[in-house]
Amino acid sequence: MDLSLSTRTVGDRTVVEVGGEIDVYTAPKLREQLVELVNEGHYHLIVDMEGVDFLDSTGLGVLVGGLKRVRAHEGSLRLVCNQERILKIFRITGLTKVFPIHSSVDEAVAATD
Amino acid sequence: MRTPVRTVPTGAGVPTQAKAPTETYRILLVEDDAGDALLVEELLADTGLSHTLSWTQTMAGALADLGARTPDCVLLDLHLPDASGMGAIQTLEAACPQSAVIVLTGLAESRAGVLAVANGAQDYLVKGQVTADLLNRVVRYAVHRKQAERASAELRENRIHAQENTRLERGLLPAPLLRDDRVRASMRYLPGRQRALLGGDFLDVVQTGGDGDAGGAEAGTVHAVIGDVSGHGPDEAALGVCLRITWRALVLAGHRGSELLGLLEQVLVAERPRGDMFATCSTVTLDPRGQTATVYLAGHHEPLLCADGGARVVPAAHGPALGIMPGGGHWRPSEVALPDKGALLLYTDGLVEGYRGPGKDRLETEGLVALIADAPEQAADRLLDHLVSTAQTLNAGRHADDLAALHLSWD
Repeated sequence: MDLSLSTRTVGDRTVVEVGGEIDVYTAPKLREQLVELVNEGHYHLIVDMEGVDFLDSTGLGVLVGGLKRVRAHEGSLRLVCNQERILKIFRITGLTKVFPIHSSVDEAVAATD
Repeated sequence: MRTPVRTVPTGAGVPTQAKAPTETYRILLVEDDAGDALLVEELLADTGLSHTLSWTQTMAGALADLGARTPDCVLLDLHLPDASGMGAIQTLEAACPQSAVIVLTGLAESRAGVLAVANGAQDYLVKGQVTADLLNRVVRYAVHRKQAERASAELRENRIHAQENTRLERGLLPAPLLRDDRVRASMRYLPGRQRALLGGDFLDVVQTGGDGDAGGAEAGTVHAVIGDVSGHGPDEAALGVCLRITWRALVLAGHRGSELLGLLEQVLVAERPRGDMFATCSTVTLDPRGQTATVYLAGHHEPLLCADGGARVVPAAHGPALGIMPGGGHWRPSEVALPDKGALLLYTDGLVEGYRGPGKDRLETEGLVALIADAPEQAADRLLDHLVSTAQTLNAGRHADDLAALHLSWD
């Protein structure tokens, strides 16, 4: 039930590297991190989920909330994920149509809408 | 400012009254006058009460001591360099609501003692008029009174909490509205953690075709829904109840399929207290002859079809969860042919997201399918109890989401 978070800046993008399990206990930590970044003026976020072992509906809610926040500032929230287990959750919920999902951080950084 | 804490060993072997021999009172004395403190210390020794005593001269010292250990009883002088009067009692009460507070007042201020009790102290002692017997009695009574007070407050709190949970649970888990016994419904709902408020899982079953219903042509059709509002808490539980009742009303009013889900989404968007809340659900319609089921998935996983002692995932088209792109969703029906005898199992994430054992692996759908195949009995209630309890045993209390399961069977 551990979640690790680290952030770094690449150009005008902010990469949030998430590791561990995003569930009912740890999701508030991720929410705080996203809120803090937006409050500090980081509106183009890339959430790197390669190190995520588990994601539940509370975690999805936090990502959707993050997206709403950056969009209010005409920003973007991109995901990096190659794990079939996690991708399946995005497919089932229809969130693949809401979040741009990339196979690497480099690809996400290079992406423009 | 904090003076070193002195710990006084147990009183001098005098038999004590009305308490277990092992019980030791942890007493904190907050008194700036060293002479008065010494008097209290000696009186305490004379009481024969088994106790440990910490002494500090300031409120700051008292608060630091409270942080390190919780005393049973605080003896509080009302004239400290950094706190005085009723404010001192309130500060202590806020810092350590478990401890009994006994106020030490001067001879000339007996009214202060009465006022102190009115402000939350358990009792007061007038300096210079304290005997060992009196002190013994006052300390014991104050501690016991405080314990009784706390136990009764906790009981009251638990009762209110339980009532609140029961009310929400009734809203989330209704009595199925079935008109005949061609299809039987069994359901389970478990809130997440002990004493935690509910999450937003909901389910319902309605059989249409009675007098006054819309859609008389489909008399006997059974409609079912299971869903999960993202996140956990009272807002989510309340929204789950709202969605369940809305779904029931829409079904009875004759709405079906993708149109119904669109309307349900409209209500969700209008009723949700926060814009990032969304819900997943899957709906199943069983035709009156029991030959086919029509499944819609809105961000939810597929139901399982149980037959011949096993189970398999019903293949169905995925549509978006409700509320993530309001108005933009379209949901496609998937039809599944039903065996003469069998059951559909609808469930929420809580049943499959628990751990499968001591490692990192979760039960997942494959694990659930295996549990069904290995279940000693396939009868609805026994099967559901077996699945829920086995999932909980495997999980060993590590993951604690709420869970809902709905079993619809026919033969």
